[in-house]
Amino acid sequence: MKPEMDELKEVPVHRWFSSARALMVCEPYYGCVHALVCLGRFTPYSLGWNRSQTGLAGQDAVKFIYVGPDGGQTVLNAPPVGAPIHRERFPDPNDLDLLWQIHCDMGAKVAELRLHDLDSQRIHEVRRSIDSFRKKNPADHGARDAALRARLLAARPDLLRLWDRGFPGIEDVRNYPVVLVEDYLDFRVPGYVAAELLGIVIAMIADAPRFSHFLMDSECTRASIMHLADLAYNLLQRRKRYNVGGYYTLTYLAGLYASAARSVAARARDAAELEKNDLSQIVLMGNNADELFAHHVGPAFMLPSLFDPKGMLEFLQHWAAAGKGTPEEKVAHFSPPPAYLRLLDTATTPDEPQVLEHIREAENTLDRLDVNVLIRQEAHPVPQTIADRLMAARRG
Amino acid sequence: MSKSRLVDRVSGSLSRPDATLFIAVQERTYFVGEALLVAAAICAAEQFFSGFLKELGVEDLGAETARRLKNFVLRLAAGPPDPAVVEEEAVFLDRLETEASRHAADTRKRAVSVGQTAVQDFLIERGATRAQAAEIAGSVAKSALHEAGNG
Repeated sequence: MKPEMDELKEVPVHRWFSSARALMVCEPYYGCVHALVCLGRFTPYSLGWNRSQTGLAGQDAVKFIYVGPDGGQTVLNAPPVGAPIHRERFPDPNDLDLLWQIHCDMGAKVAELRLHDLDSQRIHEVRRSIDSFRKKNPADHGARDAALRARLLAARPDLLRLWDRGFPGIEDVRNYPVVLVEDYLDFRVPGYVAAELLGIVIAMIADAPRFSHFLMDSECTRASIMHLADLAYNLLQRRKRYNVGGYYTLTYLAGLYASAARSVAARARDAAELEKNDLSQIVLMGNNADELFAHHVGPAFMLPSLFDPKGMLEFLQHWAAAGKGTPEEKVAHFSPPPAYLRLLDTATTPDEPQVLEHIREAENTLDRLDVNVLIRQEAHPVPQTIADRLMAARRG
Repeated sequence: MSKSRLVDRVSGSLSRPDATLFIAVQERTYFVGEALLVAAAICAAEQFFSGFLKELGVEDLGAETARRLKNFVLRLAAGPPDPAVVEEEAVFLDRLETEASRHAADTRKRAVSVGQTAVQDFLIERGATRAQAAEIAGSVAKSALHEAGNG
């Protein structure tokens, strides 16, 4: 995995990374739909009750979504009898290429820059990887399951082989999920697939030395969700300390951990083998992880993908000036880095070089991120309870 | 907007995902609009005052707050609250704020941490992480007691 680079050194580099994150944080299809929603060119739901089965609301089961002037709600059971129910809308397939096109255009511009740490081979690999998942509707379980099955078939023998090597190979077992995280950070696998894999591989490790169970007991399930959601929350709090590249990398990583927490909770719910009280709290923990993702991760990559820094600042200024609430509350929807927030109250938008200068100036006081160290130490995806079980199994 | 400044302060301190935690129901996820934000602020403030007042020795009012909170949460499970109910709770919360201001600052300071713990435990039960619950509880305590000069 390549070390973190200064994304804002060149605007196309930042937009290339941003568009890759926007496409891969869930799956390319969602990224493309969200870009259209963000630009006001598409809305999936109508006012009143909507029936959804595609996962635009976060999962794949049938859901009913109420959209009202003062908020709304998502329920699993049918809404009141007699209430009109709208069908969820889908975007025009021609429009869906917008974000993908931006990614390809930025990739071409970055290739021309001939940068040492972002060469044309890597740009090509990322493009091929995203393209392989593109245009697959997330409701198409077949495509996702095929990717999952292939990786899981590889995981079990890998884990057994690592286990058989004994100490100090046990660290390799524990680090197996780190490889998945790196694959996601390098855009080799989209967030939805990476999150499900991560949850399943953690469950396999909890079952050491058999590595056969894909479901965990109540204690491990709870510990995993708590650990992954804690990591997601802490990364989101911590991201403000880093430069723009670090800020968005931590946001992207937090997205994976929040999705993995939600995925572990969803599997526990579907398995229905837990006590009612345990299950109830596990579902709420999963919902909380879902909220963290929806409010602090999902929309974060859109603006830096769609606009250059000046355009993004203008969009935020326009957004902050419209409707009710304080400017900070309103722009929080897009989770912009602190450097942008400092520029929001300027009376006139500075020109492009000035915007970049201001942001770089603000970044001088911020830390640089080393994500390789972070995911191996402070943000390791395997909870301590399960790491302890692994050690106990080895001793036993 | 509510007619209560306390409710306005607390709702102003809550982000939408924070608010969702207070009004979370297992099989129902809310998109938090203005009405639900106010409902979440009422839950947060009542949870805080139930612990805070008990620690101050105002047992009856603390118990009444806990009882009202339980009923309010049950009503929320059925859907967004009636505006009349919201206003009734807001008036009750203003009464709690007046009661809180009657006590000496150092006594209140001790009670704040008990109130904060009550909010924190409530949020953890509703699926929040520990760090998240602690941060939200701190901000609820600060905004709930702002005008009483005990922020």
